[in-house]
Amino acid sequence: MPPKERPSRAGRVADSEEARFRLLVESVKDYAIFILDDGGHVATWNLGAERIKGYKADEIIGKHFSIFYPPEDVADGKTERELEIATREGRFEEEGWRVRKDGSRMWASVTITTLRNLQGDVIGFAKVTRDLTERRQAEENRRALAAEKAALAEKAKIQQFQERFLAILGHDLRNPLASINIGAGVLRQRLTDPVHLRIVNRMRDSSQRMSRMIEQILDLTRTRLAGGIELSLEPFDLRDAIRRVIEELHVAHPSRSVTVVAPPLPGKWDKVRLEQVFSNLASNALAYGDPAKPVVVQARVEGRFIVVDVHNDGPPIPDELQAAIFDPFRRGQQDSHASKRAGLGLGLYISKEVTRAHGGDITVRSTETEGTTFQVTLPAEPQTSPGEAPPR
Amino acid sequence: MTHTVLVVEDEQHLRDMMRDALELNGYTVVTAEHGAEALTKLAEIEHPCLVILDLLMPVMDGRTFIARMRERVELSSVPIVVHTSAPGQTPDGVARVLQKPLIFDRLLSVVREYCAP
Repeated sequence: MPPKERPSRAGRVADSEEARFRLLVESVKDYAIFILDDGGHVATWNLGAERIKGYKADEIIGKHFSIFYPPEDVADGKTERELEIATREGRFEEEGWRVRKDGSRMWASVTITTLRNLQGDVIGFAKVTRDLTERRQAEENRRALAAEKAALAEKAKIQQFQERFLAILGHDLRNPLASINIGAGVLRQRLTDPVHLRIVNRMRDSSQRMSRMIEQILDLTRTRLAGGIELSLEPFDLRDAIRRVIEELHVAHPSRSVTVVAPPLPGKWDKVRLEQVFSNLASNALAYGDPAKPVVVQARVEGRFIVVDVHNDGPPIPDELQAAIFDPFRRGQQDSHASKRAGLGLGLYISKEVTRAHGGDITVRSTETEGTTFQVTLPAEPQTSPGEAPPR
Repeated sequence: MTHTVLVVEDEQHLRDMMRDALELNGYTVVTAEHGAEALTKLAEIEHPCLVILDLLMPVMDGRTFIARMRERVELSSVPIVVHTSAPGQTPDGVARVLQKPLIFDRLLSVVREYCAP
Protein backbone atom coordinates (compact mmCIF):
# COMPACT_ATOMS: atom_id res chain seq x y z
CA MET A 1 0.00 0.00 0.00
CA PRO A 2 1.26 3.47 -0.74
CA PRO A 3 2.79 5.12 2.27
CA LYS A 4 0.48 8.12 2.09
CA GLU A 5 -2.42 5.88 3.16
CA ARG A 6 -0.62 5.13 6.42
CA PRO A 7 0.69 8.52 7.42
CA SER A 8 0.75 7.77 11.09
CA ARG A 9 3.13 4.81 10.72
CA ALA A 10 5.32 6.52 8.15
CA GLY A 11 5.39 9.60 10.19
CA ARG A 12 6.47 7.60 13.18
CA VAL A 13 9.32 5.58 11.67
CA ALA A 14 10.55 7.51 8.65
CA ASP A 15 12.96 9.57 10.67
CA SER A 16 15.67 6.88 10.91
CA GLU A 17 17.65 5.65 7.87
CA GLU A 18 16.65 2.05 8.49
CA ALA A 19 13.01 3.03 8.65
CA ARG A 20 13.27 4.96 5.39
CA PHE A 21 14.83 1.97 3.75
CA ARG A 22 12.05 -0.28 5.05
CA LEU A 23 9.51 2.14 3.66
CA LEU A 24 11.21 1.98 0.28
CA VAL A 25 11.16 -1.83 0.24
CA GLU A 26 7.58 -1.98 1.38
CA SER A 27 6.40 0.34 -1.33
CA VAL A 28 8.22 -1.30 -4.29
CA LYS A 29 5.51 -2.72 -6.55
CA ASP A 30 7.41 -4.50 -9.31
CA TYR A 31 9.47 -6.80 -7.10
CA ALA A 32 8.40 -9.14 -4.37
CA ILE A 33 10.95 -8.37 -1.66
CA PHE A 34 10.65 -10.24 1.61
CA ILE A 35 12.65 -11.97 4.30
CA LEU A 36 12.57 -15.63 5.26
CA ASP A 37 13.68 -16.74 8.69
CA ASP A 38 16.49 -19.30 8.93
CA GLY A 39 13.88 -22.08 8.62
CA GLY A 40 12.45 -20.66 5.39
CA HIS A 41 9.30 -19.10 6.84
CA VAL A 42 8.05 -15.77 5.52
CA ALA A 43 8.96 -13.01 7.99
CA THR A 44 8.23 -9.79 6.03
CA TRP A 45 6.07 -8.95 3.01
CA ASN A 46 5.98 -5.97 0.67
CA LEU A 47 3.49 -4.46 -1.75
CA GLY A 48 5.21 -6.08 -4.73
CA ALA A 49 4.98 -9.52 -3.11
CA GLU A 50 1.29 -9.00 -2.50
CA ARG A 51 0.75 -7.89 -6.08
CA ILE A 52 2.88 -10.64 -7.66
CA LYS A 53 1.98 -13.60 -5.46
CA GLY A 54 -1.54 -12.63 -4.45
CA TYR A 55 -1.22 -13.09 -0.65
CA LYS A 56 -1.80 -10.35 1.86
CA ALA A 57 0.80 -9.98 4.61
CA ASP A 58 -1.40 -11.46 7.33
CA GLU A 59 -2.15 -14.52 5.15
CA ILE A 60 1.43 -15.40 4.43
CA ILE A 61 3.69 -14.31 7.28
CA GLY A 62 4.79 -17.40 9.16
CA LYS A 63 4.14 -19.78 6.22
CA HIS A 64 6.97 -21.82 4.74
CA PHE A 65 8.18 -20.41 1.42
CA SER A 66 7.58 -23.76 -0.30
CA ILE A 67 4.01 -22.52 -0.72
CA PHE A 68 5.29 -20.49 -3.70
CA TYR A 69 6.61 -23.57 -5.53
CA PRO A 70 4.89 -26.11 -7.76
CA PRO A 71 4.15 -29.30 -5.77
CA GLU A 72 6.49 -31.41 -7.92
CA ASP A 73 9.42 -29.08 -7.07
CA VAL A 74 8.58 -29.25 -3.38
CA ALA A 75 8.39 -33.05 -3.52
CA ASP A 76 11.73 -33.01 -5.29
CA GLY A 77 13.36 -31.10 -2.40
CA LYS A 78 14.00 -27.97 -4.47
CA THR A 79 13.24 -25.50 -1.69
CA GLU A 80 15.71 -27.11 0.73
CA ARG A 81 18.29 -27.26 -2.00
CA GLU A 82 17.93 -23.56 -2.76
CA LEU A 83 18.46 -22.57 0.89
CA GLU A 84 21.41 -24.96 1.08
CA ILE A 85 23.05 -23.35 -1.93
CA ALA A 86 22.29 -19.86 -0.64
CA THR A 87 23.78 -20.78 2.74
CA ARG A 88 26.87 -22.28 1.17
CA GLU A 89 27.49 -19.69 -1.55
CA GLY A 90 25.86 -16.59 -0.13
CA ARG A 91 23.20 -16.42 -2.78
CA PHE A 92 21.02 -18.47 -5.06
CA GLU A 93 19.66 -17.25 -8.37
CA GLU A 94 17.39 -18.77 -11.01
CA GLU A 95 14.47 -18.34 -13.36
CA GLY A 96 11.72 -20.88 -12.82
CA TRP A 97 8.07 -21.65 -12.32
CA ARG A 98 6.33 -20.41 -9.17
CA VAL A 99 2.71 -20.64 -8.03
CA ARG A 100 0.45 -17.69 -7.20
CA LYS A 101 -2.19 -17.77 -4.49
CA ASP A 102 -4.92 -18.48 -7.07
CA GLY A 103 -2.96 -21.54 -8.24
CA SER A 104 -1.83 -19.97 -11.54
CA ARG A 105 1.80 -20.38 -12.46
CA MET A 106 4.24 -17.61 -13.24
CA TRP A 107 7.73 -17.55 -14.66
CA ALA A 108 9.82 -15.82 -12.03
CA SER A 109 13.33 -14.48 -11.65
CA VAL A 110 14.37 -15.32 -8.08
CA THR A 111 17.33 -14.26 -5.96
CA ILE A 112 17.83 -15.59 -2.44
CA THR A 113 20.54 -13.86 -0.45
CA THR A 114 21.71 -15.23 2.88
CA LEU A 115 21.54 -12.86 5.85
CA ARG A 116 24.11 -13.37 8.63
CA ASN A 117 24.67 -11.63 11.95
CA LEU A 118 27.99 -10.21 13.04
CA GLN A 119 29.05 -13.64 14.33
CA GLY A 120 28.42 -15.13 10.90
CA ASP A 121 25.37 -17.16 11.87
CA VAL A 122 22.55 -17.43 9.34
CA ILE A 123 19.64 -15.41 10.57
CA GLY A 124 17.50 -15.62 7.46
CA PHE A 125 17.28 -15.04 3.75
CA ALA A 126 16.30 -12.05 1.65
CA LYS A 127 14.20 -13.10 -1.30
CA VAL A 128 13.63 -10.93 -4.35
CA THR A 129 11.24 -12.21 -6.96
CA ARG A 130 10.21 -10.67 -10.25
CA ASP A 131 7.31 -11.91 -12.41
CA LEU A 132 8.66 -12.51 -15.92
CA THR A 133 5.65 -14.45 -17.24
CA GLU A 134 4.77 -11.80 -19.78
CA ARG A 135 8.34 -11.41 -20.95
CA ARG A 136 8.66 -15.19 -21.29
CA GLN A 137 5.37 -15.33 -23.17
CA ALA A 138 6.56 -12.61 -25.52
CA GLU A 139 9.82 -14.48 -26.06
CA GLU A 140 7.96 -17.70 -26.72
CA ASN A 141 5.67 -15.94 -29.16
CA ARG A 142 8.66 -14.44 -30.89
CA ARG A 143 10.33 -17.85 -31.09
CA ALA A 144 7.13 -19.50 -32.35
CA LEU A 145 6.76 -16.78 -34.95
CA ALA A 146 10.34 -17.23 -36.09
CA ALA A 147 9.88 -21.01 -36.24
CA GLU A 148 6.69 -20.58 -38.23
CA LYS A 149 8.45 -18.23 -40.63
CA ALA A 150 11.31 -20.69 -41.04
CA ALA A 151 8.84 -23.53 -41.66
CA LEU A 152 7.05 -21.47 -44.30
CA ALA A 153 10.33 -20.63 -46.00
CA GLU A 154 11.28 -24.32 -45.94
CA LYS A 155 7.91 -25.24 -47.40
CA ALA A 156 8.33 -22.71 -50.17
CA LYS A 157 11.78 -24.13 -50.86
CA ILE A 158 10.40 -27.66 -51.09
CA GLN A 159 7.57 -26.45 -53.29
CA GLN A 160 10.07 -24.74 -55.57
CA PHE A 161 12.16 -27.91 -55.68
CA GLN A 162 9.10 -29.98 -56.58
CA GLU A 163 8.12 -27.62 -59.35
CA ARG A 164 11.64 -27.66 -60.72
CA PHE A 165 11.73 -31.47 -60.47
CA LEU A 166 8.42 -31.81 -62.32
CA ALA A 167 9.60 -29.34 -64.96
CA ILE A 168 12.81 -31.31 -65.52
CA LEU A 169 10.89 -34.56 -65.83
CA GLY A 170 8.13 -33.12 -67.94
CA HIS A 171 10.11 -30.89 -70.24
CA ASP A 172 13.88 -31.24 -70.11
CA LEU A 173 14.09 -35.05 -70.09
CA ARG A 174 11.49 -35.47 -72.80
CA ASN A 175 13.18 -33.30 -75.41
CA PRO A 176 16.22 -35.57 -75.89
CA LEU A 177 13.82 -38.51 -76.12
CA ALA A 178 11.92 -36.75 -78.89
CA SER A 179 15.24 -36.24 -80.66
CA ILE A 180 16.10 -39.93 -80.40
CA ASN A 181 12.65 -41.01 -81.52
CA ILE A 182 12.55 -38.67 -84.51
CA GLY A 183 16.07 -39.68 -85.53
CA ALA A 184 15.21 -43.36 -85.34
CA GLY A 185 11.99 -42.72 -87.26
CA VAL A 186 13.79 -41.03 -90.16
CA LEU A 187 16.38 -43.80 -90.31
CA ARG A 188 13.66 -46.47 -90.32
CA GLN A 189 12.22 -44.84 -93.43
CA ARG A 190 15.53 -45.19 -95.24
CA LEU A 191 17.22 -48.34 -93.98
CA THR A 192 16.78 -51.55 -95.95
CA ASP A 193 19.28 -53.85 -94.25
CA PRO A 194 17.20 -55.94 -91.78
CA VAL A 195 19.92 -55.88 -89.13
CA HIS A 196 20.15 -52.07 -89.28
CA LEU A 197 16.37 -51.88 -89.13
CA ARG A 198 16.30 -54.13 -86.08
CA ILE A 199 18.81 -51.92 -84.31
CA VAL A 200 16.93 -48.73 -85.13
CA ASN A 201 13.65 -50.31 -84.05
CA ARG A 202 15.20 -51.16 -80.71
CA MET A 203 16.33 -47.55 -80.32
CA ARG A 204 12.83 -46.35 -81.06
CA ASP A 205 11.21 -48.87 -78.69
CA SER A 206 13.66 -47.99 -75.93
CA SER A 207 12.94 -44.29 -76.30
CA GLN A 208 9.21 -45.00 -76.09
CA ARG A 209 9.63 -47.21 -73.06
CA MET A 210 11.71 -44.55 -71.36
CA SER A 211 9.10 -41.96 -72.18
CA ARG A 212 6.43 -44.16 -70.53
CA MET A 213 8.66 -44.51 -67.47
CA ILE A 214 9.07 -40.73 -67.26
CA GLU A 215 5.29 -40.44 -67.49
CA GLN A 216 4.93 -42.84 -64.57
CA ILE A 217 7.54 -41.10 -62.46
CA LEU A 218 5.72 -37.83 -63.14
CA ASP A 219 2.46 -39.41 -61.98
CA LEU A 220 4.14 -40.82 -58.90
CA THR A 221 5.59 -37.40 -58.11
CA ARG A 222 2.17 -35.81 -58.56
CA THR A 223 0.54 -38.31 -56.19
CA ARG A 224 3.28 -38.22 -53.58
CA LEU A 225 4.50 -34.64 -53.62
CA ALA A 226 2.37 -32.35 -55.64
CA GLY A 227 -1.17 -32.65 -54.35
CA GLY A 228 -2.37 -35.66 -56.33
CA ILE A 229 -3.41 -36.47 -59.87
CA GLU A 230 -5.48 -33.71 -61.43
CA LEU A 231 -8.54 -34.82 -63.35
CA SER A 232 -10.07 -33.11 -66.32
CA LEU A 233 -13.63 -34.39 -66.46
CA GLU A 234 -15.58 -34.62 -69.69
CA PRO A 235 -18.75 -36.50 -70.71
CA PHE A 236 -18.16 -39.73 -72.64
CA ASP A 237 -19.27 -43.36 -72.82
CA LEU A 238 -16.92 -45.50 -70.76
CA ARG A 239 -17.90 -48.59 -72.74
CA ASP A 240 -16.67 -46.96 -75.96
CA ALA A 241 -13.43 -45.91 -74.27
CA ILE A 242 -12.81 -49.45 -72.96
CA ARG A 243 -13.51 -50.89 -76.41
CA ARG A 244 -11.03 -48.49 -77.98
CA VAL A 245 -8.35 -49.44 -75.47
CA ILE A 246 -8.95 -53.14 -76.10
CA GLU A 247 -8.78 -52.64 -79.86
CA GLU A 248 -5.40 -50.95 -79.53
CA LEU A 249 -4.12 -53.81 -77.36
CA HIS A 250 -5.46 -56.30 -79.88
CA VAL A 251 -3.18 -54.78 -82.52
CA ALA A 252 -0.19 -55.56 -80.30
CA HIS A 253 -1.50 -59.04 -79.34
CA PRO A 254 -3.35 -60.27 -82.47
CA SER A 255 -3.40 -63.90 -81.32
CA ARG A 256 -5.13 -63.12 -78.02
CA SER A 257 -8.82 -62.83 -77.43
CA VAL A 258 -10.33 -60.08 -75.27
CA THR A 259 -14.09 -59.95 -74.67
CA VAL A 260 -15.85 -56.77 -73.57
CA VAL A 261 -19.30 -57.21 -72.02
CA ALA A 262 -20.84 -53.88 -71.02
CA PRO A 263 -24.02 -51.82 -71.27
CA PRO A 264 -23.68 -48.22 -72.46
CA LEU A 265 -21.91 -46.33 -69.66
CA PRO A 266 -22.37 -42.61 -70.18
CA GLY A 267 -20.81 -40.43 -67.49
CA LYS A 268 -18.34 -37.71 -66.73
CA TRP A 269 -14.80 -38.76 -65.87
CA ASP A 270 -11.23 -38.10 -67.01
CA LYS A 271 -11.19 -40.01 -70.28
CA VAL A 272 -7.43 -40.09 -70.88
CA ARG A 273 -6.80 -41.23 -67.29
CA LEU A 274 -9.42 -43.99 -67.35
CA GLU A 275 -8.13 -45.24 -70.70
CA GLN A 276 -4.73 -45.42 -69.01
CA VAL A 277 -6.26 -47.47 -66.15
CA PHE A 278 -8.04 -49.99 -68.40
CA SER A 279 -5.08 -50.24 -70.75
CA ASN A 280 -2.87 -51.05 -67.77
CA LEU A 281 -5.26 -53.65 -66.32
CA ALA A 282 -5.95 -55.32 -69.66
CA SER A 283 -2.23 -55.39 -70.60
CA ASN A 284 -1.46 -57.03 -67.27
CA ALA A 285 -4.24 -59.57 -67.85
CA LEU A 286 -2.77 -60.37 -71.25
CA ALA A 287 0.78 -60.56 -69.93
CA TYR A 288 0.08 -62.72 -66.89
CA GLY A 289 -3.05 -64.64 -67.95
CA ASP A 290 -3.40 -68.06 -69.57
CA PRO A 291 -2.77 -67.34 -73.29
CA ALA A 292 -5.24 -70.06 -74.29
CA LYS A 293 -8.13 -68.35 -72.48
CA PRO A 294 -9.70 -64.99 -73.28
CA VAL A 295 -9.33 -61.92 -71.10
CA VAL A 296 -12.83 -60.76 -70.13
CA VAL A 297 -13.74 -57.15 -69.34
CA GLN A 298 -17.21 -57.03 -67.85
CA ALA A 299 -18.97 -53.87 -66.70
CA ARG A 300 -22.25 -53.26 -64.87
CA VAL A 301 -24.05 -50.55 -62.98
CA GLU A 302 -24.50 -51.16 -59.24
CA GLY A 303 -26.55 -48.42 -57.61
CA ARG A 304 -24.56 -45.21 -57.83
CA PHE A 305 -21.41 -46.99 -58.97
CA ILE A 306 -20.09 -48.53 -62.14
CA VAL A 307 -18.20 -51.76 -61.57
CA VAL A 308 -15.77 -53.09 -64.17
CA ASP A 309 -14.09 -56.48 -63.77
CA VAL A 310 -10.94 -57.22 -65.75
CA HIS A 311 -10.49 -60.96 -65.57
CA ASN A 312 -7.89 -63.45 -66.71
CA ASP A 313 -7.46 -67.16 -66.11
CA GLY A 314 -4.17 -68.77 -65.25
CA PRO A 315 -2.01 -69.15 -62.16
CA PRO A 316 -3.10 -66.91 -59.27
CA ILE A 317 -1.08 -64.02 -57.89
CA PRO A 318 0.76 -65.31 -54.78
CA ASP A 319 -0.81 -64.09 -51.52
CA GLU A 320 2.29 -62.18 -50.40
CA LEU A 321 2.36 -60.30 -53.71
CA GLN A 322 -1.39 -59.59 -53.61
CA ALA A 323 -1.04 -57.76 -50.33
CA ALA A 324 1.37 -55.23 -51.79
CA ILE A 325 0.31 -55.29 -55.41
CA PHE A 326 -0.82 -51.64 -55.47
CA ASP A 327 2.35 -50.36 -53.79
CA PRO A 328 4.69 -48.22 -55.91
CA PHE A 329 7.79 -49.99 -57.26
CA ARG A 330 6.01 -53.23 -56.35
CA ARG A 331 7.72 -55.12 -59.15
CA GLY A 332 10.31 -57.01 -57.17
CA GLN A 333 12.02 -60.30 -56.71
CA GLN A 334 8.67 -62.03 -56.15
CA ASP A 335 7.47 -61.10 -59.61
CA SER A 336 9.06 -63.52 -62.05
CA HIS A 337 7.54 -61.67 -65.02
CA ALA A 338 9.14 -58.45 -63.98
CA SER A 339 12.45 -58.68 -65.72
CA LYS A 340 10.74 -59.57 -68.98
CA ARG A 341 8.45 -56.56 -68.85
CA ALA A 342 10.99 -53.96 -67.81
CA GLY A 343 8.53 -51.48 -66.31
CA LEU A 344 8.89 -49.58 -63.06
CA GLY A 345 6.14 -51.38 -61.18
CA LEU A 346 4.08 -48.21 -60.98
CA GLY A 347 1.18 -49.09 -63.31
CA LEU A 348 -1.19 -50.52 -60.69
CA TYR A 349 -0.28 -47.90 -58.13
CA ILE A 350 -1.07 -45.10 -60.58
CA SER A 351 -4.25 -46.85 -61.76
CA LYS A 352 -5.46 -47.04 -58.18
CA GLU A 353 -4.60 -43.38 -57.58
CA VAL A 354 -6.52 -42.40 -60.72
CA THR A 355 -9.66 -44.30 -59.69
CA ARG A 356 -9.37 -42.93 -56.15
CA ALA A 357 -9.11 -39.40 -57.52
CA HIS A 358 -12.47 -40.12 -59.18
CA GLY A 359 -13.93 -41.27 -55.85
CA GLY A 360 -13.62 -44.96 -56.77
CA ASP A 361 -11.18 -47.78 -56.12
CA ILE A 362 -9.52 -50.89 -57.51
CA THR A 363 -9.38 -54.23 -55.70
CA VAL A 364 -7.93 -57.59 -56.68
CA ARG A 365 -9.14 -61.15 -56.17
CA SER A 366 -6.96 -64.01 -57.32
CA THR A 367 -7.38 -67.73 -56.62
CA GLU A 368 -6.36 -71.02 -58.21
CA THR A 369 -9.95 -71.87 -59.22
CA GLU A 370 -11.32 -68.44 -60.16
CA GLY A 371 -8.28 -66.90 -61.82
CA THR A 372 -7.49 -63.21 -61.34
CA THR A 373 -9.96 -60.33 -61.35
CA PHE A 374 -9.14 -56.65 -60.90
CA GLN A 375 -12.31 -54.82 -60.02
CA VAL A 376 -12.64 -51.10 -60.75
CA THR A 377 -15.46 -49.15 -59.10
CA LEU A 378 -16.25 -45.64 -60.24
CA PRO A 379 -19.02 -43.29 -59.15
CA ALA A 380 -21.64 -43.18 -61.91
CA GLU A 381 -22.04 -39.44 -61.32
CA PRO A 382 -19.04 -37.20 -60.89
CA GLN A 383 -18.41 -36.34 -57.28
CA THR A 384 -17.83 -32.84 -56.09
CA SER A 385 -17.01 -33.99 -52.55
CA PRO A 386 -16.04 -37.32 -51.00
CA GLY A 387 -19.22 -39.40 -51.12
CA GLU A 388 -20.14 -42.86 -49.92
CA ALA A 389 -17.54 -45.57 -50.16
CA PRO A 390 -17.61 -47.72 -53.27
CA PRO A 391 -19.20 -51.18 -52.86
CA ARG A 392 -16.94 -54.03 -51.82
CA MET B 1 -1.04 -26.36 -99.64
CA THR B 2 2.45 -24.91 -99.32
CA HIS B 3 5.39 -26.80 -97.92
CA THR B 4 7.32 -24.50 -95.59
CA VAL B 5 7.17 -25.47 -91.95
CA LEU B 6 8.36 -23.15 -89.18
CA VAL B 7 9.84 -25.07 -86.25
CA VAL B 8 10.17 -23.04 -83.03
CA GLU B 9 12.15 -24.94 -80.42
CA ASP B 10 14.81 -23.80 -77.97
CA GLU B 11 16.65 -27.10 -77.68
CA GLN B 12 19.12 -27.27 -80.52
CA HIS B 13 19.34 -31.05 -80.95
CA LEU B 14 15.60 -31.44 -81.16
CA ARG B 15 15.29 -28.43 -83.47
CA ASP B 16 17.96 -29.80 -85.83
CA MET B 17 16.51 -33.30 -85.70
CA MET B 18 13.04 -32.02 -86.61
CA ARG B 19 14.48 -30.00 -89.47
CA ASP B 20 16.42 -32.98 -90.87
CA ALA B 21 13.48 -35.34 -90.47
CA LEU B 22 11.05 -33.02 -92.25
CA GLU B 23 13.49 -31.97 -94.97
CA LEU B 24 14.23 -35.63 -95.74
CA ASN B 25 10.49 -36.03 -96.16
CA GLY B 26 10.34 -33.26 -98.75
CA TYR B 27 9.36 -30.21 -96.71
CA THR B 28 11.10 -26.86 -96.49
CA VAL B 29 11.91 -26.07 -92.89
CA VAL B 30 12.73 -22.76 -91.24
CA THR B 31 13.81 -22.93 -87.61
CA ALA B 32 13.78 -20.46 -84.76
CA GLU B 33 15.16 -20.67 -81.24
CA HIS B 34 12.40 -18.70 -79.55
CA GLY B 35 9.25 -16.70 -80.21
CA ALA B 36 11.01 -13.44 -81.04
CA GLU B 37 13.24 -15.07 -83.66
CA ALA B 38 10.21 -16.90 -85.02
CA LEU B 39 8.36 -13.61 -85.58
CA THR B 40 11.33 -12.26 -87.58
CA LYS B 41 11.62 -15.46 -89.61
CA LEU B 42 7.89 -15.53 -90.30
CA ALA B 43 8.19 -12.24 -92.16
CA GLU B 44 10.66 -13.92 -94.54
CA ILE B 45 8.52 -16.97 -95.31
CA GLU B 46 6.11 -16.54 -98.17
CA HIS B 47 3.35 -18.93 -97.19
CA PRO B 48 4.09 -21.03 -94.14
CA CYS B 49 1.83 -24.10 -94.00
CA LEU B 50 2.38 -24.80 -90.34
CA VAL B 51 4.12 -23.59 -87.19
CA ILE B 52 5.35 -26.29 -84.78
CA LEU B 53 5.81 -24.58 -81.46
CA ASP B 54 7.34 -25.36 -78.09
CA LEU B 55 5.68 -23.41 -75.26
CA LEU B 56 8.51 -23.07 -72.74
CA MET B 57 11.26 -21.03 -74.33
CA PRO B 58 13.58 -18.22 -73.27
CA VAL B 59 13.37 -14.66 -74.67
CA MET B 60 9.79 -15.06 -75.89
CA ASP B 61 7.70 -18.05 -74.88
CA GLY B 62 5.14 -19.84 -77.02
CA ARG B 63 2.11 -18.11 -75.54
CA THR B 64 3.42 -14.62 -76.26
CA PHE B 65 4.44 -15.73 -79.73
CA ILE B 66 0.91 -16.98 -80.46
CA ALA B 67 -0.61 -13.70 -79.29
CA ARG B 68 1.82 -11.61 -81.42
CA MET B 69 1.37 -13.83 -84.47
CA ARG B 70 -2.41 -13.60 -84.23
CA GLU B 71 -2.14 -9.81 -84.30
CA ARG B 72 -0.79 -10.05 -87.85
CA VAL B 73 -3.77 -10.47 -90.14
CA GLU B 74 -1.80 -12.06 -92.97
CA LEU B 75 -0.75 -14.87 -90.59
CA SER B 76 -4.11 -15.41 -88.93
CA SER B 77 -4.90 -18.52 -90.95
CA VAL B 78 -1.55 -20.28 -90.42
CA PRO B 79 -2.18 -23.30 -88.19
CA ILE B 80 -0.09 -23.72 -85.04
CA VAL B 81 0.69 -27.11 -83.56
CA VAL B 82 1.95 -26.99 -80.00
CA HIS B 83 3.97 -29.69 -78.28
CA THR B 84 3.84 -29.48 -74.53
CA SER B 85 4.25 -31.46 -71.34
CA ALA B 86 1.08 -29.94 -69.85
CA PRO B 87 -1.71 -30.47 -72.40
CA GLY B 88 -4.27 -29.10 -69.93
CA GLN B 89 -2.79 -25.61 -70.09
CA THR B 90 -2.77 -25.05 -73.83
CA PRO B 91 -3.47 -21.53 -75.06
CA ASP B 92 -6.45 -20.84 -77.33
CA GLY B 93 -6.16 -20.67 -81.06
CA VAL B 94 -3.92 -23.68 -81.70
CA ALA B 95 -4.86 -26.29 -84.27
CA ARG B 96 -3.44 -29.27 -82.42
CA VAL B 97 -1.69 -30.18 -79.18
CA LEU B 98 0.93 -32.91 -79.15
CA GLN B 99 2.05 -34.39 -75.87
CA LYS B 100 5.79 -34.34 -75.19
CA PRO B 101 7.90 -36.20 -76.13
CA LEU B 102 7.23 -35.72 -79.82
CA ILE B 103 7.42 -38.97 -81.71
CA PHE B 104 8.35 -39.25 -85.33
CA ASP B 105 5.13 -40.85 -86.62
CA ARG B 106 2.96 -38.22 -84.97
CA LEU B 107 5.17 -35.37 -86.14
CA LEU B 108 5.07 -36.58 -89.74
CA SER B 109 1.34 -37.25 -89.75
CA VAL B 110 0.50 -33.82 -88.41
CA VAL B 111 2.80 -32.11 -90.94
CA ARG B 112 1.28 -34.19 -93.76
CA GLU B 113 -2.15 -33.04 -92.68
CA TYR B 114 -1.33 -29.34 -93.14
CA CYS B 115 1.49 -29.23 -95.68
CA ALA B 116 2.19 -30.51 -99.17
CA PRO B 117 5.69 -31.99 -99.53
